[in-house]
Amino acid sequence: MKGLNIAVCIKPVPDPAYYDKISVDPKTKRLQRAGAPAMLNELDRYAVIRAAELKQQHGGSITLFSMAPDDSRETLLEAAAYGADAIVLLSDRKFAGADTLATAYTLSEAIAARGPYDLILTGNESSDGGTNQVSAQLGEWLQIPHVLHVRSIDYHQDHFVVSAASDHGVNTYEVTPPMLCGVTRQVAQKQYQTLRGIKYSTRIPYEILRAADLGADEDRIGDAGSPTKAGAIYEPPQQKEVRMLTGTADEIVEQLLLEIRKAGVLQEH
Amino acid sequence: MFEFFSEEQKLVRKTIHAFVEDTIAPFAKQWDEQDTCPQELWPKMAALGMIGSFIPESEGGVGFGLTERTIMIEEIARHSAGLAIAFMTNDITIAIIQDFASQELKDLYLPALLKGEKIGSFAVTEWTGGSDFSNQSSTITARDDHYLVSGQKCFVTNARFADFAIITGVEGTEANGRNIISAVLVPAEDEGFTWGRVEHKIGMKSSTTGDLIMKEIRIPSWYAMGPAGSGARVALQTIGRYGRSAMTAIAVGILRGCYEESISFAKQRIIYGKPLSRLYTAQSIIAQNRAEYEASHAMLYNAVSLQGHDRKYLPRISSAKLFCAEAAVRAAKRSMDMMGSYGLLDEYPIGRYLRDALAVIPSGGTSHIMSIVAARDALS
Repeated sequence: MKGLNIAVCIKPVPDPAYYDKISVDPKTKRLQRAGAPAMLNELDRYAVIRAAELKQQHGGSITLFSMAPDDSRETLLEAAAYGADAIVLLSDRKFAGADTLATAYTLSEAIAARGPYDLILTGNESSDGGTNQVSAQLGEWLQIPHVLHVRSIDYHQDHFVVSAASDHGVNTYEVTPPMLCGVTRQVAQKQYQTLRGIKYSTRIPYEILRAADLGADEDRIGDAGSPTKAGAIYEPPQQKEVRMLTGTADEIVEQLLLEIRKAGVLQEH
Repeated sequence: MFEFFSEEQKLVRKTIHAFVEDTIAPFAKQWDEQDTCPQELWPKMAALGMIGSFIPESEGGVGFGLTERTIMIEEIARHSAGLAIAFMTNDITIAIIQDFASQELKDLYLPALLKGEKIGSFAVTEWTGGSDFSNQSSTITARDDHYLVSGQKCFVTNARFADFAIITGVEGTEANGRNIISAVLVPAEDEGFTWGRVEHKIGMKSSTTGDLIMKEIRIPSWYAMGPAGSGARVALQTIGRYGRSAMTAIAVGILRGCYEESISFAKQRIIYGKPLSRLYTAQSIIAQNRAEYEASHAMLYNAVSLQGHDRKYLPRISSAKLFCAEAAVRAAKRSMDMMGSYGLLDEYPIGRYLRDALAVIPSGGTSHIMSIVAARDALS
């Protein structure tokens, strides 16, 4: 094999420092993110860092894929500065309202069109949606082996050795390419982009693909391709009740413990 | 605010901001209290490409311009003005070597400097004062194939731990009696090289400042920075281009610190049963901090973007240094006023910002010298 051809899916997500600026449109039930600046999804950062390490060890190239609005360039360049060779942005109003299934389908169409890739990496989940579904769905659309909760990925001659967390410990798999991994932050050490990487990131090919460019099935993209429909969204009422406890310190502690147990926080032993 | 940054420049700020928040901000108070410069950060900064970022890619640098370097220094100074001046001084030595050194000397020093394995110092000032440049008593005496260097320098940043000093001194006198000032590199390990007293400054304590004593240090003739008489050009060109912009960036970093800390305090401090930020007096202070920060930021980056393109760069950066340094002192003082007695506590960084801001004024040219440069240009 002449190096590893790696695809990394990345997602701009709202900066948690501005979560108070995010609202939900009561009609469309979609997040209104305009008040919050975008940042690179943190687990995607680890995916790109590990991809860059694998490229350094084995040669090859890295292409970033992202389904995001046109104004996402800065976030994509931030990811590319770790060592990507090309960026493909999937951006079209027709993609709007996509649930995880439609998102995975759209990404799979672009990856299949630009591939083949030996390894496809995604963050295990995004900090805004947190569904944990896109990685597996993408693997299914591409019909390739996929492993989630990945803690380490190495490549040996003709196969990947992948360790992934499970409820019962850590499982290790040997997988021949192509494969997909949804990675956790254990997959790489956090790094900063180098200034040289930043400089190159603005010079690599940057392609924007619209729905028409993909030739995708329009019934499977965006809102039309999304079986998930948001139900009622409401903010639970917050009620505060203040009750003064009186008595000696010991009596107050007893009353306090009783109230905490009644609230279900502490169990009787 | 200056808003015309390129994509690269925005990414540089974002990356260095993250690095500073993780690596510098949590320790800045400790370095200040211990009066120590964190030399261990040099390899880390070098790994990112921060050190000597203006050196062309073909020679091991990143090939960035003055604006990117200024962004980095502002970001460092947001939390540690002391480290920022240590960083900028090291960068000055790299710029001098790049612009004036022989190829052999470049080969000997630049790779190690760019890896953060060596740290440089720049020793110009003597007891006669930094602005009285030609009145130096240090001597650089030419022999057949070497120089003998003697004298004493003061206020040397990175004293005690720098691996070398680039120094200026008198190499002879012209027919009209004026001193011929030259510049040479002197390795710290050479016989006759001694670090003298260390100064305990009120501000920028995360950098070391001290004396350098030179007693007949013998260095090869190819350690010279340009031909005899290049000393003034070496010093003034480099300080004008890399030093003054950096000191202005440090002032802007301190201003940003004052602005952000005053907002944070005003929101958290409850007085008369409500946040301090609800009071007009606090709002007025925050508004003044904002106005001076935004004006300073615009002046700095506007001037820096002119470097190399406009002959007015020097008076513009001098005006910017004059305004930003004095504005940083004002912002720190008024933020302390807003905080009341809390402003006096080391628990809050605002006192450190005031000490740092005061230390910016004499570094790289006092406000009076900046006024002279700006006024001469305005009146010409």
